[in-house]
Amino acid sequence: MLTYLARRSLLVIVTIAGVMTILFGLQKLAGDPTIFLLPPEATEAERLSLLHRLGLDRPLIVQYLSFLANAATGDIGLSWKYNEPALPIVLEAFPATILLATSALAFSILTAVPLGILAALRRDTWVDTFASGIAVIGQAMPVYWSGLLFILLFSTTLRWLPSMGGEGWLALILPAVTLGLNTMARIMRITRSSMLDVLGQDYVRTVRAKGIPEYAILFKHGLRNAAVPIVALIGLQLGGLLGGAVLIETVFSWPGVGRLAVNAVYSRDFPLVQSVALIVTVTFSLVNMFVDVLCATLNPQIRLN
Amino acid sequence: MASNPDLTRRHILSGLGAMTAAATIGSPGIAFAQVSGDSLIVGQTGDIMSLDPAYRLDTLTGIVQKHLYSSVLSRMPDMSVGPGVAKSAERLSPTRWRLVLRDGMTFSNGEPVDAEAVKYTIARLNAEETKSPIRSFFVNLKTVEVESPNAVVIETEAPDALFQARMTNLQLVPPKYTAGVGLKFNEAPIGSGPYVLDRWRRNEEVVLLANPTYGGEAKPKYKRIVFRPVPEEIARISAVKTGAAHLVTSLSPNQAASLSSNEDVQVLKVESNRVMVVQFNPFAEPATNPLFRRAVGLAINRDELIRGLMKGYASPVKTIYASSIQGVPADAQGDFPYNPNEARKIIEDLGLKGKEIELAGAAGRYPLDRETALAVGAQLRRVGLDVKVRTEEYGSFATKIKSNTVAPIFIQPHGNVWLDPLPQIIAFFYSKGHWSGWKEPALDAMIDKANQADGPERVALVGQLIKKLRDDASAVPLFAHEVVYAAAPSLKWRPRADDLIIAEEIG
Repeated sequence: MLTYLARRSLLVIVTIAGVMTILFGLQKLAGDPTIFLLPPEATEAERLSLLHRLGLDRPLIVQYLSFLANAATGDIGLSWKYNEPALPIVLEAFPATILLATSALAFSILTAVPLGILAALRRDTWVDTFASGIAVIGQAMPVYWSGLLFILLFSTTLRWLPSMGGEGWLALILPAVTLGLNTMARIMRITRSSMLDVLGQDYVRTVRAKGIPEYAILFKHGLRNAAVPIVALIGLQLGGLLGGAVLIETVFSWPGVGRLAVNAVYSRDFPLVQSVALIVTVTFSLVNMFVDVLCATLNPQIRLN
Repeated sequence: MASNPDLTRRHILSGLGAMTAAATIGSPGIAFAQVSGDSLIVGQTGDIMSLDPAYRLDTLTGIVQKHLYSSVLSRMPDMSVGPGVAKSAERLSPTRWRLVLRDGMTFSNGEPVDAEAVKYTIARLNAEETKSPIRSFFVNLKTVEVESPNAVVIETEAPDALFQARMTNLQLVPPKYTAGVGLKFNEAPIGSGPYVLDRWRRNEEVVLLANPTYGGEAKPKYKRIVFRPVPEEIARISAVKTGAAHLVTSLSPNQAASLSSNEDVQVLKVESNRVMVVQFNPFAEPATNPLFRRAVGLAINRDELIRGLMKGYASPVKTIYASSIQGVPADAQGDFPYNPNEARKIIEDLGLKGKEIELAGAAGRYPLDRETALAVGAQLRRVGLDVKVRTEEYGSFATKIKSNTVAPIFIQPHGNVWLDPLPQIIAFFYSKGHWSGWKEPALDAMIDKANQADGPERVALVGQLIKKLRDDASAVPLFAHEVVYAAAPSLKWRPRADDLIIAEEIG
């Protein structure tokens, strides 16, 4: 396993280098950042001076190599907007995004897995239809739109929950539920189909014939074997949740990395954009690696090498 | 590898459980300041850039810093220039000014607010190593001479009609403290304004507390002011309706119109200094032809835009200037009457009927900017042009303007931080202007002349410039945006034309 982990870690580094290269290319296409960094009255001389100060008057290849070299040492430079080191700004906002994403994931798992199991056990009944309906709604509604609806209903009309970030744990409910809706639908569907598949297997019929209690059949033999695709999906969904957080953090004023990224893109604060990309890429790669290890742990038939 | 005895499935599953528990229990709750009677809570569209006055470029940052720092002079609610730290500003010669400072003011760390502080602040802003984005505001200040602890004489490079306006942007910092902390000033800023910093959590909130040592004329009105970034408009409105904020900024005309009869919230508005202007790329046919540009001006029905599209949340303008801009002749006329028949005739005479022409605009930066471009495009189609409207994200749009690769017709928002007509003309029409594609020596000469003048002569020269722009049909003013706020019903406040929110003006 250690060899596997070492190999995957190398792949993470290659992935980061790839993402950074693409990002560097994109930012060069995004236009002149001095438009956002100088007042309209600034002269051309001041614009050129700023370009020089930011190192943007150097040849492209020099900029690229210098950027990669700095990124390798974790020194992405100062945020052009905040005039502070960019990476710490992102790391400061990261816990809020992790809190939101893990809460959304927890909501998704806690609602989707029982609902999926129930739908599988009560196949073709109203329970199954209800669960399928929830899945369709969860997958069909754009998170931005459902977020606004929730604000209008639960904050403005019913006044049960705050509409913007903070205010302790209460403020986490709306963004986490909104963000987790789509993931919940996906997990519910895969849990249902996976459980239906496993419960139809010969070994389940055998343990049932041996008189094992139904709950043990369900959880020890059924869910345990159905868990591998569910866990794999959950791992992939975490990446989606980090992406979805960009929208949700904006709708609910949640102070995480997603909002930081949006603002950084709008203000052409490239060091900040690069820092966000670096952190998100590392996180996503590590989560994927972790999920692979977890799947192998749950089912020893899966070999990591 | 899965059989590695040091890393078993049991270990991994146990670790996973422990990590989940730690994440759930140990995650810090994000606590916000709560609404109370002696607090003022303001919801803004975004976060601030910095707490250091050398790094203030946007209004959101300016609003927060206005409470932390005292400026040398102040903009009064009617936008005239009034006293600040300086009780008087006397012009000694065309290039020399004496500022006499008030007695007894101190920074919150005890350092005196004196002439040395003025000198140090200007030197800091102009120093290369400070890397201030607003260096251009003060680079014209050549020497600063301390006459006495309460008097300073400033000499400018050239006669400067904007001197007093510049001083309203000069927010003082304490010399000893600032020199000691260097560029880390932002982390623990010290000013002499009515409030001091309690905390700034990026993208969460800025909390200010009343400054007990404030030496201004009146004591701070609130014990605490909270500025929260709330990017989503629906969430901002919800915050006011539910009492989570007293005042929120930047409502769109559509939302403002729908809230106008709501009892839970009052809608406040003011004409901003930002005017939407139809401009032309002087390097793109047929926009090189003044007659074509005039036809565009005649084809636009501005009343329809204001009443229909903007729902009345925009003000008509006669020039490229909003009414808050000072030094514009009262009788200046830079707009075009709505005359579609004449416009249609010109288009036909020029052989442009049915010709495909692109119109560009920004999308998502200003209220209904994309829709404005679409509406203007539709009006131009009515007079026979086959207009294709292309809107894009502001940065890409702005880059095209600067490189003269923008469409022949485009809609340019004109901001004006100095509330003076010349910086706006320089930015958009002078050959060396930040946003200008124009290279016209005659226009440059007129701008240079007006820029050297002062008093009534300057006003008259501005009038001539406005006439020149109209005669050449270089710009077609559309309307001035109105800045719209949602506020708690009990809040008493008259919004300012410079977009600033100053707590002491809110009752």
